[in-house]
Amino acid sequence: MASEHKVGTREEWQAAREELAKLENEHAERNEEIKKKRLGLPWVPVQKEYEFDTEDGKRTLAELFDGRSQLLAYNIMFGPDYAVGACPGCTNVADGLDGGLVHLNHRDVTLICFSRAPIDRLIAYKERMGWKFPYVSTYETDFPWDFGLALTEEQAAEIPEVKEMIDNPPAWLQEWSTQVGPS
Amino acid sequence: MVDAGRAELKDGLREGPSWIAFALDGGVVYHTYTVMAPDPFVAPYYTFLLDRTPKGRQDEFRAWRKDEYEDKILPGEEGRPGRGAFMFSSLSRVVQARFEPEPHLRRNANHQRDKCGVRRLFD
Repeated sequence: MASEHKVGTREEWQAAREELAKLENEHAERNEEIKKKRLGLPWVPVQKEYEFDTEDGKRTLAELFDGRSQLLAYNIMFGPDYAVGACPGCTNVADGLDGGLVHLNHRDVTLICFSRAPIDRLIAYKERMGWKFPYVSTYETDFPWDFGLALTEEQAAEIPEVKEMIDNPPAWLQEWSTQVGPS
Repeated sequence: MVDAGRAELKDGLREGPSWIAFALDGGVVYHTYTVMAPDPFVAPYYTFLLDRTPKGRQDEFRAWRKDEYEDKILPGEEGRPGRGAFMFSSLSRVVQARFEPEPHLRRNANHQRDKCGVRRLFD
């Protein structure tokens, strides 16, 4: 089957590519500004003590740094009552992390993932997915709520948009719920 | 109402995929950054590669875990309607926009500032 895409000469491609390059350069310049602003954000002291279940036992937030000075974490949606496993979309994100692990570690960054399910469930899921990064449970901590990663049931109940989605779940949400619920 | 074959919808609706960063300096932990879907950064690495392929990133109705792919499932098959690459995008926006700290947390000024910082990203 012939492609429906526009076909052109090498010269046409080159001209269009250079036009696109202008936009890409603008985008890159803008991104430099954004990076500066991001690095300029104020650091906010964490005054509360958290204790997480890890694969190696209980750890405080400071201990999760594992001797480095920076901690970068991805919060995988995996609630305590997701019977099948973590959110598949989040799982796809996590699949991409292990390749960068050694390089980040050598740049003073510890990379981990958090989820809300108990640590045993996380360990089993990590094994299923073949992941290498440290996986930390926020189960029975205030951490996800304190940092806005998740809402408590009470908070969610007060949001009309969320209530509406629960009462009349769209097709994609019904599909998603079967992916994380019992099979 | 909980369907026996599904996780509780309300549980999934209460969370968003996020990155969060901390610094450790002089024995003090600092919260430095949070970003949540629908920010385009919160996406699988392969989707950034797809952006540079001839056909680009396709809208997908659902995501598949790596051990769930079946040979029969190819782009365009199975009648998978498009609704955005990351299905929680719209929801996360709602959750973040509406988030207010619990009353018992409002005493914690740091928490408030964390929340404000996140909210501004999506305003």
